[in-house]
Amino acid sequence: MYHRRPPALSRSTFVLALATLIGACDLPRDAGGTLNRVRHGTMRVGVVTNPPWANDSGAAASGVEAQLAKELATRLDAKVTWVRRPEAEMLLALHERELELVIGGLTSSVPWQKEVAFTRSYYTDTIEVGAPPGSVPPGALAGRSVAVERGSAVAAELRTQGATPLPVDDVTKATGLVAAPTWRLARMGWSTGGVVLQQEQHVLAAPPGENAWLVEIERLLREHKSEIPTLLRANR
Amino acid sequence: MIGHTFRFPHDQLAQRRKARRLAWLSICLLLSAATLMYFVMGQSQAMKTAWVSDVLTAVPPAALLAAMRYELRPASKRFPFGYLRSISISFLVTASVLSVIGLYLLYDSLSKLMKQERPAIGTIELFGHQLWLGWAMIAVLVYSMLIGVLLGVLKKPVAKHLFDKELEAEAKMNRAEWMSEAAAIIGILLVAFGHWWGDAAAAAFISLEVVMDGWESIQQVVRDLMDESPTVIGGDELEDLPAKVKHAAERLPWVERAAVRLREHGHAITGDVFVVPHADPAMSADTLVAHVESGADELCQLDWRLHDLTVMPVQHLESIVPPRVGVSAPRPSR
Repeated sequence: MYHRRPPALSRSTFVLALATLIGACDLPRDAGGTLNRVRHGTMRVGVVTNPPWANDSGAAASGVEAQLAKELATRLDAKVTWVRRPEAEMLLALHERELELVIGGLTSSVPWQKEVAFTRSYYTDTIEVGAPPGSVPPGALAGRSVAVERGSAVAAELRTQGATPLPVDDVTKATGLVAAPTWRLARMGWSTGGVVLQQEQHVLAAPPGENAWLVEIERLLREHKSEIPTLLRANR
Repeated sequence: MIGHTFRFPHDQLAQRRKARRLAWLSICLLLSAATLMYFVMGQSQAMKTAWVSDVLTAVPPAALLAAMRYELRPASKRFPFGYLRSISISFLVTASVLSVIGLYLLYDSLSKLMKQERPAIGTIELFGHQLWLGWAMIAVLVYSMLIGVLLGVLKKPVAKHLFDKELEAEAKMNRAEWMSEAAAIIGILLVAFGHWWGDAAAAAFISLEVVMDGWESIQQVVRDLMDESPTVIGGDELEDLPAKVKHAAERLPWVERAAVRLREHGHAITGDVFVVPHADPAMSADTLVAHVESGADELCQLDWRLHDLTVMPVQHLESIVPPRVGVSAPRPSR
């Protein structure tokens, strides 16, 4: 049989050629020139207080996503202006390109999809049920009582699985089963039984139509993707 | 013989099998393109519209397959004229779906343009590389474009052979699809160069094309409902089949003059032949009936589509409106 070339090779060659071509043309471009303004300029970042993703700590912001924003600024030789306002206001400002980035634990399920540009998800947060050290985490939840952060949507999921949610102010102080993100359970040293209650795709928000900017942010997120779990466990 | 179920000649049956295979092929290929499009759609309005338009082009072949199942069923007590017109129903389905969805897409695109909503197009990960989604979109659109052209080229000869207007319309729609894809590609390229309006503008153009396809199907279904005289495939001109039948009827030895009206009845052509027999006091009623029956059979041989022709002996043709071919019908008086 006649083989022209191994397909895997030609495919990656094709993608590489395309990438080179695109790099050369400097495409895509922003509709409003955000990337060019941020480079050697100022980057206005809206911070939604939501530890460990983003937290307000005086002059600067801290948290996983604040670290990512700082890294982006360093890379583009930009100064960061941290903005703290209610989430809705900041996302509307982002839509009008009055901010360049909004951080603070946004997930793809918040209803802002059509107003702003969400990045590709850089981390999937999994909420599971954990058991304290020394006890065996349950495989099924029916009839069990599970501590859950007060006001969390996870309580509804617990109910549908037949468990009784116990609303608490601080899950780290709970003594029985708790529903919490896997990184928090790991930090507490608790084990999980593999019952997934919820999965959230974490994203950052950029102004819509600023596609070069969006590609730049996504490039950064892709490079740091593997460090996120470590960062989450380290950030308090 | 009147009242018999319409049968396709042997040659046409083979073409029908081909048409059926083409319909299945269309559905599969169009849905494969639609699936790819879905995964790279992002927030692009042009891509969304091209996707819907692509899914919609799978509707006519599906409707055609359904119609092919029904049209050859024998006549029943409830449907004494048989099921031949099911092909018109498939036009009706296509027409309504395309028009309604096309108008909605047009509204959606224009409102995005007016509200100046800018499309966010990020990246995807492909074979371990990060790639701007726009380039993936263009690649998929090119694939979809090739499919459209291929299907159009494959369907056209079959449609011609079968005198199948639905298939011809489908082939035309497939061929016209390349314009949608080209528009979407231009829209995405405009976005790549930072012109956000390119996306919604391309989407509006594509929606307009969907609306036009719907409009053409509406026209076809209205003509079918109005019992239009047979028209040539792929055109508006009337066929000369009624004249052919009229001349053949007038060549029958017992006929003095004849008038004919025909209509398309799905893939078949039905109608009436009014004849004035020669004044012959010796002709008995039995002879006349025998003449009429054999005459109908003979006339049906003129074209394979002719079916269930009614031969009706009359005394004058002038009293029949509008059977006279080539003479314009008198205007109705109000």
